[in-house]
Amino acid sequence: MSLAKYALRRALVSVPVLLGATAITFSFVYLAPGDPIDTLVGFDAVDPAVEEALRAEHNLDRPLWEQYLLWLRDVLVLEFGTSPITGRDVAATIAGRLPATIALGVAAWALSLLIGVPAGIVAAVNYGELEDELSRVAALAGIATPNFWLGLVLLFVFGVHLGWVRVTPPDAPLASLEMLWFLVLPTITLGTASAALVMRLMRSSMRRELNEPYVRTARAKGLSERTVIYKHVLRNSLIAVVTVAGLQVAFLVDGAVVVEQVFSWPGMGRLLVEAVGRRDVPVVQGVVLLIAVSVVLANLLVDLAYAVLDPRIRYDR
Amino acid sequence: MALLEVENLSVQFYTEDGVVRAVDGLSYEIERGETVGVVGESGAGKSVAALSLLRLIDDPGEIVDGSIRFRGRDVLSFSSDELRRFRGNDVAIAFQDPEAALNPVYTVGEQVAETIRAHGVASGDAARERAISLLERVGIPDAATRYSHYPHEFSGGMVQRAVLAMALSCEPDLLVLDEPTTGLDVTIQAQVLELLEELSSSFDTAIQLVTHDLGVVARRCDRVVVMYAGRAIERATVEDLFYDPSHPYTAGLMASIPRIGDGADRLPTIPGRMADPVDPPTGCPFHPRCPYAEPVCETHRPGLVDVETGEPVADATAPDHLAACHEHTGDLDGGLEYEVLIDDETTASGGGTDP
Amino acid sequence: MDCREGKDEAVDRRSVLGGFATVGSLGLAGCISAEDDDPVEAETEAERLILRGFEDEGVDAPVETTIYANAENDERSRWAQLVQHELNETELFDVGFQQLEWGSYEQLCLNMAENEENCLITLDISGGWDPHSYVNLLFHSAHWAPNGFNFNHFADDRVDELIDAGRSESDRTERVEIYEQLQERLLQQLPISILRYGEEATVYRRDSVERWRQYPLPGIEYDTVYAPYAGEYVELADGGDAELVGDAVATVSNPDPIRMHDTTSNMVTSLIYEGLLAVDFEGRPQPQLATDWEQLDETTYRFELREGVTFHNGESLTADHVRFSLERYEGSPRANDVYDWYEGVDVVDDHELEIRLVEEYGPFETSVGLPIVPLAAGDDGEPDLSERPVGTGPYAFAGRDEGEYWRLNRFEDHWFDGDDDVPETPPIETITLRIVSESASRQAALEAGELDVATGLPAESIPDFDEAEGYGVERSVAGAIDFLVYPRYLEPFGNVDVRRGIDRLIPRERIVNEVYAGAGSVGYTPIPSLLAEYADPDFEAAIVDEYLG
Repeated sequence: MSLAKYALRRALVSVPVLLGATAITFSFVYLAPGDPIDTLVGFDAVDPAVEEALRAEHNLDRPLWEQYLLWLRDVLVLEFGTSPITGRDVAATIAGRLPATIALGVAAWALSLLIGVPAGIVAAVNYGELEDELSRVAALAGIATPNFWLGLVLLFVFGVHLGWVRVTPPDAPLASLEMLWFLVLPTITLGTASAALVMRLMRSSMRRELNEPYVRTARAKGLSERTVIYKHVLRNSLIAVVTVAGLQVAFLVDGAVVVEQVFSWPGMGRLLVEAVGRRDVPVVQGVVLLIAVSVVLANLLVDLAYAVLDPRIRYDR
Repeated sequence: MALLEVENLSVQFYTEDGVVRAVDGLSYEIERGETVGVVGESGAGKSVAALSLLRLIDDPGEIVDGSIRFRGRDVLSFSSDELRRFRGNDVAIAFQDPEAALNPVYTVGEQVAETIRAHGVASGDAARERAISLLERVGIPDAATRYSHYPHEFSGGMVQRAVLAMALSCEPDLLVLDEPTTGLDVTIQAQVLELLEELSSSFDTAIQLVTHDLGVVARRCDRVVVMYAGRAIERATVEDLFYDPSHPYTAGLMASIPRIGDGADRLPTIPGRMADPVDPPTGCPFHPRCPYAEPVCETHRPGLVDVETGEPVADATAPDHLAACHEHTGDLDGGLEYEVLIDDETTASGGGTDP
Repeated sequence: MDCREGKDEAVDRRSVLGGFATVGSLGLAGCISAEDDDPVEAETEAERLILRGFEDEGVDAPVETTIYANAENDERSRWAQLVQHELNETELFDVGFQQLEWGSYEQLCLNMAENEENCLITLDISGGWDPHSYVNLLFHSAHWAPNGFNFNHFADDRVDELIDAGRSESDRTERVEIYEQLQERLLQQLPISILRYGEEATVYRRDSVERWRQYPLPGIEYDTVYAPYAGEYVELADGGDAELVGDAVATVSNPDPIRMHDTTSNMVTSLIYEGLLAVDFEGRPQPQLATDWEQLDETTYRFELREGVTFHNGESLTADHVRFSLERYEGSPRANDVYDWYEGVDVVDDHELEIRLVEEYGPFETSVGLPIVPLAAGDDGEPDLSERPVGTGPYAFAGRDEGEYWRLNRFEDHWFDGDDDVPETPPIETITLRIVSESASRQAALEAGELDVATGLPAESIPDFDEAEGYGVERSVAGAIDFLVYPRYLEPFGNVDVRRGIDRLIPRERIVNEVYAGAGSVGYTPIPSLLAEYADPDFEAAIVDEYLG
């Protein structure tokens, strides 16, 4: 079907984006002082022959562009190589962290929508009233609170003092009740700012839609206020929110770095931070590629969601 | 008892510049099956008056005075549930700018069927069938296919028809049409007017036709209310109004109708602008623009009186020829120096009147 | 095992990086108070020295410069600001303060001399059990940054000579003499100012373990769980279960000794691997896989191997394992650990061998205790030590979840038969090291009872645990020194009087007490007090008095 064709076209268009993202990361990692071998030898003057041999082993003796092309060649056949630092398979390393990150990201994303959308509706419908004011204050607090700080406060209050949740992840499979329970605090920490953002956006978008003539029509038809809001206004208001919900993927990746640190969550955020610190180029590249792919994918989904929400948008022409 | 009785209706808007009295003591009535035109320039309060009937005045507006009775029931005291059942079922409204009036993200058919379902007229497939037949009735070809099209896929005339179909879906006793022909080209206008005529007779629906187009009024209405600055300044049968406009504003409106076959000399529009809604003029609100204004017009506000007797009419809904001008109470020294020439050959093409 | 830590250069590199990367905790750099106003003119000896230096160099006060610290290290930033404040108080200097991210800071430090940067930099370095590890990289002219940590490109023939002499002297008494001379010379020249010796501290829950003993060097913290060579082990508290949960501050990057480059990897494997010798908590080499050893001549050592030692994969220890384990280092990132001194191994028989050195090597006994690994780890062998470390130690690798935990199980076939101090079987069955990278989260986990011991708590939280019931705090002076580097390639910092004057202005007591909440101790000389043999307090007091007042 033509929507599939559109998706394919979008996927093709995203190829340069992925190339750009990985190329930029690649050069940044190299512009940063030191390379993986420096990390391995501890920035000491080892026997130059040894150092050269190690560099050659990981192609680090080649020009930058050549290294990038070599990396690219391998990635095309989904071969992510071996980390010079840990000696482990990069794909396996990333795959090991992926479920945890996805679980946290999806939970926080869902939270931001589950809190943000209804709260935004309440605020918009009660425009200028107490509910609206409360939500405004809450949103401001939510956006202004650094998630690092929020995470630690939650950790000490609910983990240490009240003892309701664990401070470190339980020794349990990801898909277990214990793990779900543990995920509550990180999810709140990661999702709060997003929820606040979604809420404000939902509110303003809804305010705008509420003034559209079609709302008056719907009321004039004798529809209940519920139907007017949840059927007519909501769907139109969501169009703006969907855009941001897509952008949030990048936003959440950013936040995950800090939140994973605070909650000792074995996700990709921490992996990335450590890999950058160790100049572990293949791992950094792999993670960045994955993030780029997920952002591109999220935006593709946003586009498709547009088409579902707004019939005026058609991708098949 | 008339179908609709509006008495002394006043609507205020609270704006940053001050309080605006958009409708000020308006009274009129509509009988079953009758078509009443409400005319005036933009900002005269016609649309606000129309919205008030369904209590669709949003913040920061408010109905501050008066009563609206529909079949004797007090609309202003309806509970929200009663109001919901009333809207769209007893009185339906078709707004101007029909494309904006439809929700862009639902199909036209759904928006028609939705009304049918909301009032329990039919449900499920039956509602759909009924919606399709309504679309057919208003002259939309291939209605079954069109049912699942979105508003943006309709042409201007088609979307106006669809809005009419939606308004008619529960066979209301009163249909309020707000500028139903604005923005349509002449051919489509004519089609829509024909359709209205046909529908009103076949559904036996009363119509309140809100327009600034006297041509439309002449063709479709039984009676007319002329509004200026939130008030009725003349009320009459369509014949009385056109043959004997009794307010200089009405006369001015007629003078500004372009006449078919008369491209040569454009007729003057009424000079000046609609009164400032926040700070209306003293006395007669029309006096700053009135070529016949005299000192008395600046100080005394003329009441709505019988043009024959010059007496105020106790029953605000009485079907007499009324106008609000000092001329009719004899307070004007110079009188109204305009005359109406009747040109029978042009009446068919748009309410031909001449000053 | 610990000797890895105990041996010199290789270790300081590794540990310095650990020190560099100390992650800052909550809170901003402390504000500076202290208001004593004495305007202009040399009021103190320090100011007189500085002014004299200025005159000699023909520069006018105030001299502008900037003191730097890295943003990740909160304490360092605070003490840098204290120094800044003291210097500005004299009105002889106009010192700015700047924080950089670690990456930029590292570049600034390594290239300051090359670029003639007008900056004072603040750092710390960790060494091992041998004095060589503290002086070589910091002061030898062969180790000018970026090929070492001689940041301000200090060069002094006498210093080089003494460093080399200390390295190639294996007689204890001789070495003590050499390092005394070296320290005196360094204080006289004062290329950098040392201001504090660090401290290692571990906090444990009394409801889990009876007691804990702090190993002074980072990376060996968990040896105390069961260290027959040092007469140490950890006993469980009543009600404590047989699992000990501890912390690790980063994921384990590589547990293979020849590719290991971080403290965490070292720490989580120190109970897995054993070496010929191990250095006990006081810094004395003790027999571990060797039962006895002797120095045959300047470059030859003979070792008797322990019999009946089994690897976790079932192999039995022989002299071949020793040779294999040492020669494995050739061409590896950690080649220096061995090839700085290693010439060859002569296998006498299965349980006797001789190690030949390229030259006489002072730090040999604290360097030779490298992990002995099974022959099966040879080329393409199984186990791959990067994935699954195998040694002869009292605990065997039991699993890991990268980013979450690292687990060890008691090795039932460990060779030790028990003695008066240490039982035959370690009371703790399982050790789980939870990877918690945020220091405040480590504290929370300890308080919540999810950790039994925490080795990586923020310094400022330790005093609270001292007072809190239910916690034990174990401290030890560490092999770490904090120091200030002068841009001695620039006037007037090239003038020794100016440097000495500045040194006198460093508020050492205040830094230890206020910035580090009393952790660690005031220091002046490059060899920390941990190395008791080389840090005779009387001698140090004398040279400090002579050169630093």
